[in-house]
Amino acid sequence: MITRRRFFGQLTWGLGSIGAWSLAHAGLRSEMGDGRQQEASSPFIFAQVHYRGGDWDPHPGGSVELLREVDRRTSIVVSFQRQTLRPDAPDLFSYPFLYLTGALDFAPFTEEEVGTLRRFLNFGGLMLVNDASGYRGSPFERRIREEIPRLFPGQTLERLPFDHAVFRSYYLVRTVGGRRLVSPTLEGVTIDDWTPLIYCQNDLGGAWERDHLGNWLQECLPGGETQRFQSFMLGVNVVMYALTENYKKDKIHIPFINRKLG
Amino acid sequence: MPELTSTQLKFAFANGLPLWQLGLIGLLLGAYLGYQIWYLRQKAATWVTLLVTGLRLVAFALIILFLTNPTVLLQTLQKIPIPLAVLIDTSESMRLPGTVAGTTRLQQAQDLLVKGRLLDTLGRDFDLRVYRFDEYTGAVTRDDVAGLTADGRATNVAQSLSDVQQEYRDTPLAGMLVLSDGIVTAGEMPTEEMRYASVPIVAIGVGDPERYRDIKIAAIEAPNFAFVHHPTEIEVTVKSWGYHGQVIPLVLKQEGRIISTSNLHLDGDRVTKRTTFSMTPKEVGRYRLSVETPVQVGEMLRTNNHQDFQLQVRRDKIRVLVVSGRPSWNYRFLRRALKSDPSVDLISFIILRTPTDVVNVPDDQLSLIPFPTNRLFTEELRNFDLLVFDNFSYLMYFPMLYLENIRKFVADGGAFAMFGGDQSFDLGGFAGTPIEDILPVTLERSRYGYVHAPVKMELTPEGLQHPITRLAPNAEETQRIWDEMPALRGFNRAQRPKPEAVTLGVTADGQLSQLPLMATMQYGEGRTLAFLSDQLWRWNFELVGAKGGNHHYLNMVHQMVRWLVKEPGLRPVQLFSDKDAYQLGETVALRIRVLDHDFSPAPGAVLNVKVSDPQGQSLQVNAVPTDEPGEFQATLTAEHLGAIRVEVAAHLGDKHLGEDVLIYEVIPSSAESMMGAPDHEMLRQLAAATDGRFFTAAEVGGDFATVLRDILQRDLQYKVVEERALHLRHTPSAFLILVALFGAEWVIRRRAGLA
Repeated sequence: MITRRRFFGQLTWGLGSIGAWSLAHAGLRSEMGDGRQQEASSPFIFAQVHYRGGDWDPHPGGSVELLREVDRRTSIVVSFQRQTLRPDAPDLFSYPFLYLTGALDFAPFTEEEVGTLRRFLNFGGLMLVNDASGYRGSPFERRIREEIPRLFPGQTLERLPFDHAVFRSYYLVRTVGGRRLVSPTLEGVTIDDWTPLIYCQNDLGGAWERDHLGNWLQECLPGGETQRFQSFMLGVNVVMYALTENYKKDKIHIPFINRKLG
Repeated sequence: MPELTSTQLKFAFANGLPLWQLGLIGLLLGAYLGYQIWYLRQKAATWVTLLVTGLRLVAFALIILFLTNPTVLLQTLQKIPIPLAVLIDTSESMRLPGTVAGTTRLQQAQDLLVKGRLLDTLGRDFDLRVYRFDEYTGAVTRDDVAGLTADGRATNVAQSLSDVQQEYRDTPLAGMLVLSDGIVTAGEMPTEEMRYASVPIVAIGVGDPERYRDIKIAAIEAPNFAFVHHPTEIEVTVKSWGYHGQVIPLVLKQEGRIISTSNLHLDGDRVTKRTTFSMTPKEVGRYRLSVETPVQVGEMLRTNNHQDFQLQVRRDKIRVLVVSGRPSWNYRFLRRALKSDPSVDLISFIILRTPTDVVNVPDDQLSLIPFPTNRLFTEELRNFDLLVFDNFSYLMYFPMLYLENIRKFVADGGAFAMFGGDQSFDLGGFAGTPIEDILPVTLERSRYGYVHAPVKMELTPEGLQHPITRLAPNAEETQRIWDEMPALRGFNRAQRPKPEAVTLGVTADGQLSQLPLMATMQYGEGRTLAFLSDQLWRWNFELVGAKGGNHHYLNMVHQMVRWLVKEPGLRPVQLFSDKDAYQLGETVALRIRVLDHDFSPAPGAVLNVKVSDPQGQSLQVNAVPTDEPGEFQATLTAEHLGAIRVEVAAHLGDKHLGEDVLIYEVIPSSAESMMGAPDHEMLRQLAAATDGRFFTAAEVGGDFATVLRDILQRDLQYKVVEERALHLRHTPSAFLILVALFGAEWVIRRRAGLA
């Protein structure tokens, strides 16, 4: 009788890969259900926090580009309609993924906002915080670091190790991209095995943004397009992490991923 | 009462003058004597002075002596016999053979006491108090000893000795004479208990340890419960007396069927051997097991060659396989809920990339792993308890053949759940497949597909009672909770519940009301659930926003898993007994709780209760309703030893509601039936601990009473039964002596010319 350990060991050498099998059946999905085109039932919605003061939306087009990338590369069905929400919006809990970005200082969260966001983050929501300033010690960064203890009493931002699920939720990310390489890694607040708040200092949104003609609005320095590419990889991974949590930390994935990472 | 008398002479001063008066008189007489010496030395020769003074001194001394009233006592004494407690073991083990062929151990003791006249002999020196003891202690007369029977259900030596000693706490007790085989089946070990005893214990061991022959299943060490598919070890201890060199078989049986055997080599006359059986339970449930060894030639005790026990087999964890069609909030919050349940072992596969998704990096930069469909759905499916398709369409990933495997998995007792979405139910291509057979809803292709509209779920009457959706102890509270649940933003429309399905929730709003949203069904031995939406997560996260907590969602998911995998606590028919083990002859009280398919109490259920003993004989028991709706009770008598299996099946009309199994153990009413080897060593230690002595019955000879006296009779007590007193001053001779002394003095004085 095969043991569970052996079974999972052998799974990595399983008979078919998704790619191999699915290529052979490509196109079926569009014909299922009597050939009808069925609108996706629950698309991923990118919700952005519209806080008071400062500049809550320095890169308005960044999210759409990220969502295109998510749609193009993964099975996640996305809604390209960005949702903007106040931190205390009544329907905040209909959007478990929140994006908060800025380069300037902004008004501290009110007590009500802190309470709502704390609940949001403690019960399964995820917030990606993007520092759009492109330099260390920005007013936005100071504000964020002041607000973190209010949202997570007794906790501070910690560097996320590269074996964190966010770095392997879809791509095996080894470098944190962004418009500027301010920090080589991400920071975050982790509760048990879940990181509800991820903080990036490298301005991911700036790296994602294009103009209406399809040109990149911001140059990525110093790594250029490779660095931009890494920004998208990380963005896709954050979305994937929000939707799958520590799926890629399940035992079944570990030997496979370790082998790829060498 | 023996009459042991003797006489003795004693001298005493009885009722004389007080010492001070005697002293005063002595001073006066002394002064007078001094004056007399002074006077005589002037008038008479020295020899006259000495002689007269000497005579006067003797006379005065006698007077003083008589004033003290010297008395001679002649006493007749009678010995007071000290009580000696004689304790005779009358437990069941005393029925076993004694040293002499054809006699029991009790007869051996009786012969010693009665025919051997030990009671008579001891009765001369001691006040004999005779007791029988086993589980309890009781006084008997000497005449009763010959008629004692060995029917005590246990031997509590320590308690018996303590009781007797307590009875004589105010009276001296010479000692205790214990006649027993030394087997202790109840209470403390007497060697410990009697360490501080104030009286010596003399023990006479009956039975012959050297000739005792027996093989005994001494102990079975098995876990209270085992896990299905996991090897469980059962350690068996066997003790043997007198079968040196033999190899005996040992058999482990489950429900009377041999599942393992082992041979034991008995490499000594008295050996303790251990062996370990390993078994791997295949199914969840309660099982009746036994360990047996055949009765050997010459075995003195046959009842201890077999021992029953029961094993409850559980799941170590509920193994859940979730296959998700794409990353989604529904998966994400379902995963969190399942991961928060420590009894769930979750394996999940999510389709992270479809063939239409363009890969822009080499494969070694992707964390994707193969989806091992072949192995999962052909070989390993039965290792899971619950399979969940979460908005997953099989069409791109495996052939329909695997769906038939899933159907068989459910038919054989597995659980299956399907969550809705644009790749699920008919939209996932499951219409007309084996999956449709097992789902609680029919899959009809319709023009509606997935409806994007807010809709609230309304519980059906069945949903108010069902373990999955009953989120509070009562229906009112459950209804209130569901009223507060957020609306879903879409659902799979146009599915109809099957007639045999139980619909728990339907759409509540507007024109789209009363469409099924949640339904369950029994298929074969398994259970299935259909939730026709991929918006379940809103009952978690949106409720956190509205009410501050998600425990209703977590409860529902946990209960859903447990109900689907038929956790015992959620079984519709549940059988309970008031105890796990009963003594032979005790009354067994059974209680049966029966729920209908909608999990409301089923007071009208018809029960079939079957009780079967280890020999395979069975009988039907009548269960009667109690005052509690849906609850029944039955009583029976524990008539057969071993593990008794009770099976109950409940029907309501032609509807089979469920069944349950319970096993209880019937143990011998007497622990004596398991122990037969005389334990003279215990008696020896007991005697040594109390400054007594141990004898085997064979060592008790004609001089035993004398030996016992030497051991016990340290300070005999007597009482004076007659006394005669001779007061010396009242005798004529006393008067004559004084007259003679004074007369002699007078003669001398005359001769000396002093008178």
